[in-house]
Amino acid sequence: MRKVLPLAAALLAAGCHRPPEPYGPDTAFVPAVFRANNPGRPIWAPKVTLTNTSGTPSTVRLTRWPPDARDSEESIFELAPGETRSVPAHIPLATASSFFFESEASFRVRAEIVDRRGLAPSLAVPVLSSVDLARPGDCLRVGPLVETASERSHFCFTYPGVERDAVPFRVRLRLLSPGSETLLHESTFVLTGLPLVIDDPWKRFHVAPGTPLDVEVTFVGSARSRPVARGLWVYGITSTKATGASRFLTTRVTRASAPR
Amino acid sequence: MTTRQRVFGLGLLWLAGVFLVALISRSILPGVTGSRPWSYDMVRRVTPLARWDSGWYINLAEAGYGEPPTRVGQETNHAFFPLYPGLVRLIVRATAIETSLAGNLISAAALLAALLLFAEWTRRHFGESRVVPAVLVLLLFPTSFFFAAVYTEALLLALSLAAVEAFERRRPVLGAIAGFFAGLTRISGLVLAPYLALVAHRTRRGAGGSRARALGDAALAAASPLAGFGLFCLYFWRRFSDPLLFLKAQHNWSGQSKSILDGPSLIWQGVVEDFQQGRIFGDAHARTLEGVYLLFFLVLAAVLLRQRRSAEALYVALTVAIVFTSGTFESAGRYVLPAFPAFAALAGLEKRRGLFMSLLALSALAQAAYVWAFVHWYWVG
Repeated sequence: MRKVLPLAAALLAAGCHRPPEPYGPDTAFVPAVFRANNPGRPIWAPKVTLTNTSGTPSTVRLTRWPPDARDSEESIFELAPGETRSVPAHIPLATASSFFFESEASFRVRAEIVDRRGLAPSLAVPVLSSVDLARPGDCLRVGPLVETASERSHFCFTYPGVERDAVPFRVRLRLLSPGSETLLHESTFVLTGLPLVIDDPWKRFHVAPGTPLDVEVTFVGSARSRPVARGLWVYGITSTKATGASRFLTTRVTRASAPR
Repeated sequence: MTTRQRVFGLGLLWLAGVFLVALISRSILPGVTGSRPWSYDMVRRVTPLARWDSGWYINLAEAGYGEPPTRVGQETNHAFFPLYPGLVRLIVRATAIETSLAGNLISAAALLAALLLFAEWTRRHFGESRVVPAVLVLLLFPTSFFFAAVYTEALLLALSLAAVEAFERRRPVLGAIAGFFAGLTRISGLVLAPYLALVAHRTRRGAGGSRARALGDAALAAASPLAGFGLFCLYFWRRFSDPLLFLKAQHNWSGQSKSILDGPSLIWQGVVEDFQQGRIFGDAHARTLEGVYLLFFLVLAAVLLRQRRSAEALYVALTVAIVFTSGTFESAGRYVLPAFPAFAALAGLEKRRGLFMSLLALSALAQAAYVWAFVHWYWVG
């Protein structure tokens, strides 16, 4: 047994996780990338462009999460100064995904989700930096989410693909009435390892249908006790039923060190 | 080299072999695969010996018990017992290794401990010459690869053997502790209760103890797995107001409303339909094979009974019987694995050396095929 213990300890030590190496200090996170091809519905497709804004040739690494195949998880783009390149989607159908770009040099990303048939207006996607993301202990608030005769909202937990070795994440969720701050729901749970869309928060969290609500998410940390590389984001979207037009709701971050 | 060292070495060798076969299996016919019910991130990160129910244990280790099911057919993690995922969680929290790897390590450690206990138990009941053959039979049985997978079989085997060994050595407190933990490991731990009671009674009487003392030991032995199970029920009662939530969750799998009392009739209906529709060697061949495992272990229970090992025969028969409460033969080949006395009885074939070695070789090949199928997401129990 005395011979086995050091072997077991060595095995465990070898298995201990180290956070992934960053590819570069400049980052851009596209929290929502989506494509869908449902009959009779808008044919959604992401339209993402990448521009090298530095004066020198540069390489940018893209991490898709989730990708449509393992080979597509990471892509490297080599860009000449000032060059703009369209980024191929390579994401699964009808699944919320995210793009995370990293580079040594400065670059710019523009992202929108367009209806290829042109029936619904495009949705401009806010592009974030990794410093915008919530770290463990930070609190994210998005809202108000509504469900009325004309509009309907949903929200989504998401993170860069470089978190793939740290996920799943544990979060504390509170649903609050906007303005009055009345607590409608509170729970702590572990997310899935992929971006998680809460399509119908009222049904999912047993809140009276149609009640306007703010979503407050406290990021607890990795359920696997692993270091978080970049962080977590929560976005909300409200869509107009008649036109299919959508808009992102404002997400505010309260840092753990800041007073709540 | 002592027998203990040989047994331990065989265990290590077998573990290395199973992992090697699992790793190689990934590149054998990589395009031939069953449907993967897991999400991309899970498939990406788990070890090759983590499939199917392993996902529930991983989920329990990472997230704990979630919201209870609200409708029939809704699959939730309440069907699974807490000890194994709890241990996985401890390892993951302490080392941050991949959760499925932690599960594999716990299974491997439990198996090695179980083998040493099994060797000792076999030596005492069948003699020294039976030890290595019995260990080989246990390791090379077609479905034994589950002992290395992220499943509870190895832990339950280790705890069951620890409990039996402790009561046979007249260390009832130690036996009760092991039995208690067996009751927290999986439902099969419950069939340990009558076996432990008989063992404790037999041992105390055999040592010249009074009838009252023997009955006291038997009561303690029987109560220990029931207490573990009771604690699990108490937890569900306090948290979800339903002490038998695990039963509800288990039966939810079938998509139809049923109870454990319906189990035998559902199995009978299934067997009759398979015969009537000529599916036993066709579409239902996997179910047929599971039924064969059950019959085989019933035969081994009869062999043990004939050898006047009535307590062991009862344990093997009850391990088989518990499958009938589930309403399906699915996983029967795995459920019988903790019935260790059956493997010792089967090793009696070693007297016909040629036949025994041939059967072991065939069984090992079958196990390798099972591992390939498991790694490629085919349901094998």
